[in-house]
Amino acid sequence: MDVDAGLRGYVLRRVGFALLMLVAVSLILFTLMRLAPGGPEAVLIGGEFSPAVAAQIRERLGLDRPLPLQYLTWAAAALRGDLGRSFKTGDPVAALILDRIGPTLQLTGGALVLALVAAIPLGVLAAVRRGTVWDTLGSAIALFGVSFPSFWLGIMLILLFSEVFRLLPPSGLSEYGREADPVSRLRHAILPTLTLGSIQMAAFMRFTRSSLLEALRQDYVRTARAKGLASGAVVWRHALRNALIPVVTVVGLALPTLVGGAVLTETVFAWPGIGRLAVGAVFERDYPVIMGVNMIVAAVVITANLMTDVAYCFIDPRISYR
Amino acid sequence: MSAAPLARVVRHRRGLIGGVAVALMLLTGVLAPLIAPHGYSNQSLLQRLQPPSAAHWLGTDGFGRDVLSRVIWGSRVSLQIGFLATALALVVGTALGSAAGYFGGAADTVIMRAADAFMSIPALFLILVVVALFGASLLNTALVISLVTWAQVARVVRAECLSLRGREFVDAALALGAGHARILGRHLLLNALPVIIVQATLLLGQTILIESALSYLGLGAQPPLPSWGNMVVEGRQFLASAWWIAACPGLAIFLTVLGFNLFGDGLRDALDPALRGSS
Amino acid sequence: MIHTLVVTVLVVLSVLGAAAPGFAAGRDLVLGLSGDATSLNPVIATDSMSYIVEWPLFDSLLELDASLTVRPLLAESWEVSKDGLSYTFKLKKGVKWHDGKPFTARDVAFTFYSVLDPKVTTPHRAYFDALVGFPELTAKDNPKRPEELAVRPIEVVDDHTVRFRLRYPSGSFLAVLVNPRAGIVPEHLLKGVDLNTAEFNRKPVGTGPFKFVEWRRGERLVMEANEQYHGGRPALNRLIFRIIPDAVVLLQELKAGGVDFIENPPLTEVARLKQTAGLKVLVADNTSYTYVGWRQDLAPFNDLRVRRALNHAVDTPSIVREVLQGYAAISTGQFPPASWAFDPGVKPYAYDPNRAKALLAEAGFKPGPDGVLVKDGKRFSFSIRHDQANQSVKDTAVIVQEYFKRVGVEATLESLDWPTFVKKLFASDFEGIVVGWTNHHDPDPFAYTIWHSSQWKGRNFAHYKNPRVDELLEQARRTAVVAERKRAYAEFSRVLMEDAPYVFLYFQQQVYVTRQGYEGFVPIPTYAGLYQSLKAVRWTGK
Repeated sequence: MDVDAGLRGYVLRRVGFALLMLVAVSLILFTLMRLAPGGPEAVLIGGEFSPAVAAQIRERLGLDRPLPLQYLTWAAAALRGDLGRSFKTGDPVAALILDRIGPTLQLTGGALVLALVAAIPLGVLAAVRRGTVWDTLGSAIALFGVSFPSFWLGIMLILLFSEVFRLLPPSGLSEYGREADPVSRLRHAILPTLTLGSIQMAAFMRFTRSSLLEALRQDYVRTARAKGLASGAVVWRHALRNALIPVVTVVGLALPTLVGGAVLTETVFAWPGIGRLAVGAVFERDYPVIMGVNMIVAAVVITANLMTDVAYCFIDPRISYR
Repeated sequence: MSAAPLARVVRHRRGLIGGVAVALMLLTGVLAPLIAPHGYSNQSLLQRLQPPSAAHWLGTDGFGRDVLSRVIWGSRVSLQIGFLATALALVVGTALGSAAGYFGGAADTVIMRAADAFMSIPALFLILVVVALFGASLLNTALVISLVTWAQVARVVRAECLSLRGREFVDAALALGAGHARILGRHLLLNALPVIIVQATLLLGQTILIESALSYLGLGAQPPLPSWGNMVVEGRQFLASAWWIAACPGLAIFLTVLGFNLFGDGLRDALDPALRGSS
Repeated sequence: MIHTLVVTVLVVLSVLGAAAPGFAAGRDLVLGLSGDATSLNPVIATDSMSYIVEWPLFDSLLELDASLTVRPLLAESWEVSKDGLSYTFKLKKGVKWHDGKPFTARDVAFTFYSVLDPKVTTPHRAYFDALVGFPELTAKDNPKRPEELAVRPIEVVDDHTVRFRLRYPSGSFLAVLVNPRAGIVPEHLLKGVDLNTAEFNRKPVGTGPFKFVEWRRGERLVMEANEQYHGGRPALNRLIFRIIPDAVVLLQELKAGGVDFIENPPLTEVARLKQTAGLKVLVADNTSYTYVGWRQDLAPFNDLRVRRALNHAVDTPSIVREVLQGYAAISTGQFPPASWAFDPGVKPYAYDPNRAKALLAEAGFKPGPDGVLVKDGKRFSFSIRHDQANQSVKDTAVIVQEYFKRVGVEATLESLDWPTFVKKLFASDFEGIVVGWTNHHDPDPFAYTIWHSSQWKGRNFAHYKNPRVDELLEQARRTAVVAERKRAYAEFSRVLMEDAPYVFLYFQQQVYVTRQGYEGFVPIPTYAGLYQSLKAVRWTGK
């Protein structure tokens, strides 16, 4: 069929562009980073700061060489898979990322699953039973969820469950010495996942509901109903598939958070994830870490976008790629 | 826009409540100098951390400043940044997204690659760096927030236009000799309006939330200028002893964002073409 | 049947296993830190977090007592020559490194030659200015090696005797040989290695009361008691430093039992914490002070009346009382009240806004249409830059801004992140600043580098210049006679207060909260001085 050839060409073109994009993003990041005043020497020296020692450190870290040369050195190494070493700790950036990405994925993955599992049924229910108590309730919950500042929600949850009720721990991955203990890990994960997931759930639910409502009103749905198809079949086979386009979009939008880390939640709960690593690196001007983390996130996002675009083709047969 | 949809909004209860809330917030922001009982920076170190009382309806903060006045003044800053950033993101996002979805081809590629680039760079990082570079003024904050949010608008609008483009009425309009601009403006965008509006209201809430997040990380509006975000941050250290300092602005954020969402819902339902009767 | 038995046993064991950490809870100490150390090598690590964690790992030659007098640690005794130019230390015998090798005088010599080595990036070098050959050894171009000098500054007399030679008598020399800036590192592990990047910096070996166990960056640092410690095995089993950057979360962890010890809680919570059963509050004086500064060579700050007016405008006692809950001492200059160099005769400027306005009027300022003072068409408006991560500095800046406003001076706050702020500070790119000095328990190191006019490219970024002050600082530096130093510093403090280069605000105390039952903390009044006593802390279980 013609669509396949068109699709193939489209995908190939997209991949090519994706690679170009990565280069462009790396250039933008690099330039922006170096424009910000100050450097890693401020944090490394601390309170005993002296410009002479600062100059020494900059020289040792290669920061006194011309900028294009610094970029090319970094890029050449990155292509070989070497993301350099953190200015602050001296550890290889790749190792740092691998270390921290586990907790982040656990948090954001759990939140995403929670959000979807709660949102789609709720959204479907609210759309299908529009105007009834279900709709009002579901919409209210979603509405509230979307309106909370995430860090505020986190703080309130800690206040409630940790200080007042003493049920759950306030921060961290697990108790010290109990990293492998699944019960401890689970207890520590509840509040952060809830914080992050509630807000995402609310957003997804609203989107599912509104796009499903849209889809249900389309002509083909009326046609299907007129033809006598059972209501359930109409909803699932026709309307939902079309309603999923914006939902897939929104999930795609959630992906940068997935990898880039839910920085605020990680900060509030002292969660050792990649978001905190990246933000800390900005404040410490730890250039290799900044570049490494952001490039990985960029790569993931670009790939994810590519995949969601391809997903559209299968969900909506009417979308053609000239 | 004709009066009919507005009338429908009024009939729609949720939208009405939301609209009233939004209007109240806007009025508060505009009339802040008149309705705030005290200035936002009048300190009185002897009156720190007072609980709500007759003299200070929402209590005082760590510097003895009246919390109610600061919440009122804070609405200005939060709303200013919120509206500006949303407007920018909407205009740019809708224009580029619809162009990409409708025309396809090269326009689509270039625009979507640009959107991808902006979405690939983690938002917070971009914001942090820009703020470190250019300082944390109101305008900068709004600009940088719109920089990270326009792409999501563009993507959603593009998706809508993509699916709408294949529909019969577009072919019909083309056959009738309508120009691209007309089709885009009259048919596609109007049909995509519900989605855009949902986006807009979500965005308004989102930008207020992003601004407060920036303040949480130490950037954003500078003291003594109050924004709801930096008030929550200042109040966080007193959470156990003087909870009202963080709770009140947090509540304000929540209610405002809630109001926008409710209003957006009402507006969307009112603009729904199916409810408009036959087109 | 056996199945059930096995399962039951396993379940019971796992439950017990889960509870096990509770058994050891009393003999470990879990400390909460608000940031991570950058490196565990005392020669090169100079940030405040590294200082804290290095203290239990490394010993210095001397240590401090509660009155800031030096007393023996690795050095058993010492002799000073009559002319004050030669210090001979006799080292303790039988001291072992954590890896079992013996500690000798060669390690001492190696440590300090490393500090002097220009290839090693360390700001500690400046503390040893008095050593013979200092300029030659630390020269930027063609620095000499110690072997090339006629007279060597550090001499290994024998395995347990080391001699330091000075080029001028220095009263601060002994004070400088104290942790956290003077830990001794092992020659046998670091000779020939590039100290800046050595693996040692992540897996240190010292002679201190605690041995390094593990360091998970950004998460925790663990050390265990050194059984062979020359001062006797510490009473605690392990020190576990947990890194929790958020002050509020830190406090929650303390209350929830996740940590046993925290420093610097939000001051408004301290009163309540004092009354919390199971917790106790410790307070230690500090040498660090916070101030409002500005460029001395910039108008209108170059006018003495203006500087004095700004001093009169701020009600520091009120700030100390209301904002710091009394946990600070008013600053009258460079030296804390606990220091021997402090002169109680120097009085701060009284809070007197009327006097401030009068002085400003004398200086030619008139109130403008919006209330801000104006002179020669220019409004008295300037920016105050400060570190955005430091809560008490931020609070102070907001209050000071308000006090200035009340006398017609407009200050706009610019909150910058630390690298940006430091860059602008040392480039003298600012008008006003609110910041603090960590300071040293000996008056010389900071007083000289902040106020001497030769240091404009260094800590004297405010560009202060007073020839009399220069003289006094040099006098105080080049003598070891305490009475002479005291005289010089007393006059220095007086002149400084008259010049009013800063609004000297306060010396904030260090506040610690720990679980009842841990005894033995000694609040030595210098930065992080409390951590020196970790080796004496024990769990009494009450």
